[in-house]
Amino acid sequence: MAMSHRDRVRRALNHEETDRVPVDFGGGPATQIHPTAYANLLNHLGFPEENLPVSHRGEGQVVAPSEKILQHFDIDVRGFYTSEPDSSLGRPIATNRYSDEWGVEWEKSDVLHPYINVLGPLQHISEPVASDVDSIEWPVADDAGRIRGLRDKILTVREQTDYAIVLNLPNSTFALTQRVRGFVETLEDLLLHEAFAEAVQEKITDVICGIAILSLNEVGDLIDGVSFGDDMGVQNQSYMSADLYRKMVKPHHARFVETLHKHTDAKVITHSDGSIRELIPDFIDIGVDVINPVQVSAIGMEPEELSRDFGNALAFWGGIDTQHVLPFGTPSDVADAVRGRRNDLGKGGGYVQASVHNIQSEVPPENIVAMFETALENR
Amino acid sequence: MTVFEDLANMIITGQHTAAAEWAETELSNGVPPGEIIDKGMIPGMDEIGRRWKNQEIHMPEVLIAARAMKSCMAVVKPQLANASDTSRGSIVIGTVKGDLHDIGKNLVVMMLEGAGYTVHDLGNDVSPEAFVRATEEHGVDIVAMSALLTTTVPMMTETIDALKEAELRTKVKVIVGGAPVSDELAKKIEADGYAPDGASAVDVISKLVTAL
Repeated sequence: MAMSHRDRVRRALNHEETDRVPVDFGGGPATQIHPTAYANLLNHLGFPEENLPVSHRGEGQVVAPSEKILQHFDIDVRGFYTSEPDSSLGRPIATNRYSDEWGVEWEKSDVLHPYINVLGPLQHISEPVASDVDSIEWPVADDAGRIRGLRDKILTVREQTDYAIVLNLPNSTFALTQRVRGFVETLEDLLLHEAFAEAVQEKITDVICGIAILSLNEVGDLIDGVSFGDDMGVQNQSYMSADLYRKMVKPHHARFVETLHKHTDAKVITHSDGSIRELIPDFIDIGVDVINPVQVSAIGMEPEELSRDFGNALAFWGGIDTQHVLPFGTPSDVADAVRGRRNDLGKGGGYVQASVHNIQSEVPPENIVAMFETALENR
Repeated sequence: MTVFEDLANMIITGQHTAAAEWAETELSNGVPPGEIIDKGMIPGMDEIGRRWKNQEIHMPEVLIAARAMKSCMAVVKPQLANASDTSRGSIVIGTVKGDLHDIGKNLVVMMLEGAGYTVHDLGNDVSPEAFVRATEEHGVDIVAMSALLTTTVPMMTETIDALKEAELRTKVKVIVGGAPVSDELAKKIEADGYAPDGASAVDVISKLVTAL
């Protein structure tokens, strides 16, 4: 039984069986590809160069694959983003350095490496108090620039194709807090400066809920998934214990996810890198439907166990290892990983295949082809 | 009587102001600074390392303990006649060229300082030449390299090659770490050690320094 791409994704996310596992490539900010790997892929396939715009902002340093490539691999998902606001605090600072609308400064090492955030506007305060949150200017959520043209773009894909559509919202509370306040400082604040940690997260959640409402009022009826990123884990454990998460962060995540559900029927997809097993029960509790990227190489993220313990309540999006298999394995290792995830994460539905993170520059095109071609095999 | 356990507990629970005050009081009581480090601070950070390795605690607890250790060190260090007398070894550390990710590396620095090592932190995006220069300048025992991007892992090999070229490779031990790095990879690039996390880095370096 052949299914439409959209049906395939919707059924999978509803934990129903599908004719094959649906596949994402480039549908979100963490399933894209480095420009060098992309050029190698085109060359390998005998396709002409494309010279796509490289995303130089944010952590990406990636390109979104062209429609031609997406159709070549029969990719099921198309992703969309909100735009920069008309009125932003963002500005270039120097070559390879800029600030974003939150006043966060980003820097990169050279042309083809990703930007990382290096300085936040509240980072300098050594003993912060709640009122420090009012000492800086915050983005205005309700800015028409964020959604200009979005409905027309999505409507075209909705009416003229059968692809599943994901709206990718900007990062969420904790990632933004860490940028504005600093990574280490934010983690310390959870224990040392509770009132400030509470106030800054509250403020940021106000802004991102505003952006979400603006966007979903515009396109919430046209999409199948709404996605946001908020990394909560490192390689071997979560950023914080489940107890500390429940006390200090979960209420903000809960408010955000509730806002999303209130304004769209689409599935809520949360992106968090790293080892997040300890926090998954709480994600389920606040209404997260899908987790991405399922970093299977992190401690506690063994796919069989995730599927066994959470597979009834949660769908998985990602799962093809980018730390070892894709860059350093053979095409046959990649094919094994794809079949493996189909059998564990994909058991009984509930799985959309994607690379665990953006495909890095050194990944051989043979491995990329193996990942997508193996996905097209029948179950 | 000086109860060093009190200081260790202040560090373990991240009470940075109390820890610094404790050190000030005890210094004025005539307690030697070296003893405060060896009997209070290092045991406190050792316990943090143990709990972290066993996944009993997470980064926030580790970070506030390191902050307390640093506040205390700021009080004690100026009182040391010769800081290197109490050092367990010296290390030059950095994230390799092309890579700006330094959170993991910073955690390793904190754990090493907490364990009593002298650490020369070169920051991120550190070229092989800069590693060589710092190794020569500080005459260190250990060169420690970190990478997060799979793309920058080859820079570890280049740095090791640069150390060889400068005839420094036999004089130092090299340890590597970072998310895409493994024990296997460390062996392949002929590093002397690999550690999967900040707490284990202290153990590995302690073995390497003893073997020097």
